[in-house]
Amino acid sequence: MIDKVKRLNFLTDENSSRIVDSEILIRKNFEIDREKGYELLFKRYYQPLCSHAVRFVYSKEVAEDLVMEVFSQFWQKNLHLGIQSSYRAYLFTTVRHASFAYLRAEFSREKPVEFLVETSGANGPDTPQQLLQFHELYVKIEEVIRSASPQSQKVFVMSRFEGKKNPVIAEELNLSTKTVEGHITKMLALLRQSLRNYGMLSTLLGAFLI
Amino acid sequence: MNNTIYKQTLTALFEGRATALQKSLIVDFLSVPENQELYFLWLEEWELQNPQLITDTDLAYLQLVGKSVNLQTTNPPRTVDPRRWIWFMGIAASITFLLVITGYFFQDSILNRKYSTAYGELKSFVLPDGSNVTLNANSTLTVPRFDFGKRSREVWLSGEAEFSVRHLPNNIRFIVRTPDQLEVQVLGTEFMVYSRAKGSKVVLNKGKVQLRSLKQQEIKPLVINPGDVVIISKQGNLTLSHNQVITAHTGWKDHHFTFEETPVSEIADQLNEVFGVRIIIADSALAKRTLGGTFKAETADQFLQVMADILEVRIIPGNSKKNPETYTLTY
Repeated sequence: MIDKVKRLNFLTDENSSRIVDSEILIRKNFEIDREKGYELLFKRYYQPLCSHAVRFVYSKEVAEDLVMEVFSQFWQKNLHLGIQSSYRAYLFTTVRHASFAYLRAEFSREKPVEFLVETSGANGPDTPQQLLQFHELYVKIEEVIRSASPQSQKVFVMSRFEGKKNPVIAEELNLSTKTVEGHITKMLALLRQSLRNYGMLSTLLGAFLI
Repeated sequence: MNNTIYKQTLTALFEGRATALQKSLIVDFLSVPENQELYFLWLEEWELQNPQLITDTDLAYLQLVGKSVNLQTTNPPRTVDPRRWIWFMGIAASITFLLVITGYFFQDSILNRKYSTAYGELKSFVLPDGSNVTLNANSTLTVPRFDFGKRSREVWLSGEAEFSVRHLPNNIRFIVRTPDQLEVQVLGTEFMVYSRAKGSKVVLNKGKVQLRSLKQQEIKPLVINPGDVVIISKQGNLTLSHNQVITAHTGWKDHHFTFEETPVSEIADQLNEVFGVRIIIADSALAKRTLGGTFKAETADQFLQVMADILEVRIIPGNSKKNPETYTLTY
């Protein structure tokens, strides 16, 4: 009885009906014209997905790369047919898993491995705890970066986020290239340490990325 | 608890402000599967309202489509190396540039097919629309490779050719153009076009033909009938003669040459056009003598032999090393 009530609320709630409506257009398109559906899906979600990814990987280029890869696999594997949840849920979940895998490859103690974007979604939806942990992860990253000196932060953002080369940064900030390198190295070390200390890279989150 | 409060709580989570208590609430909320959809909806909204970067989505889509089309197997994403990317783009750009340049220079041979005959050679062939062409010696016919007969049928002739044009169901006209801007339009008929250095000529065997010289565009195109011969002067003036003997003009298909009070100098021209052989006429009086009649000659030698016999002259070969071959006609 309670279940039914909950579901009814879900459906009649103004927000929920939006969930059903908002992707209907895309789904309908997939039925008629796969390419058009794909295009609509991409154009709707690309921006927010990249924004989400960059909170983890802190690099524009990497974030866009990851999101492109997720969409690419979506297309190749015809995933629009197999997804039970909304596309939104699938895409956000997959992108964050991919971002996590990237960080793991970069920072964890294990030997760096060519990481693959796990996109089959066979693992099913994340548990509430897992969902929480993703948020805690990027919050932690932001915290670590803010703990460094403003100069370090600036250099790090220019290098990693914007993708600028060290000599270019050195020139812009009137520093030596060596100093620039030093800032970046320090920041990466900080990140590596924090993430490991907080078990961010090897606990529950890591467990399902087999 | 209605959804607005949950939304606010989740927003706190997104922003990293959620207290431990709030997180506990959230875990309960998210334990209901349907609520996860709400969660992602609000997450999307929040990301849209607080973008961490701005993307060029349209450009990205184009790149993705290109990538998806080319992909055979899944490529794992790699940490991007800008230097290799620039190097690769440099190569791609150079190759594209070369292809464009090459395409530009070979455009003609890509778009058009050329049929050519050597000196003394005759060629017969069929065009893509089913029309028949016989090409006389030392001539070139240029025909478009693509869509011939679909939207147009235009060919370019330098030299001499006889056409037997098929009438197409779509009524597209067959047009022959020559280097001296002669334009011959037909629907379906048999006619011959001659266009060499000294001028152009159109001879109609069957059907109807419309022609004009683009050098004189104000003049209405001339429509001619079977048995008509039109001579086109250098200025583009058309001279029409009716009831001509057509075979005199088309005999070349059988290696026949027909002359009707034709001066030797002109005969020498024909010899040059068809066989590439140069004649020096030693005597100006000889040059003005005229010949009449039809004879057959498949080679320059045969041709010269006939002339020598009729004119009662000698033929002295020139220095054979020179190109073109030169002969002198003299008594």
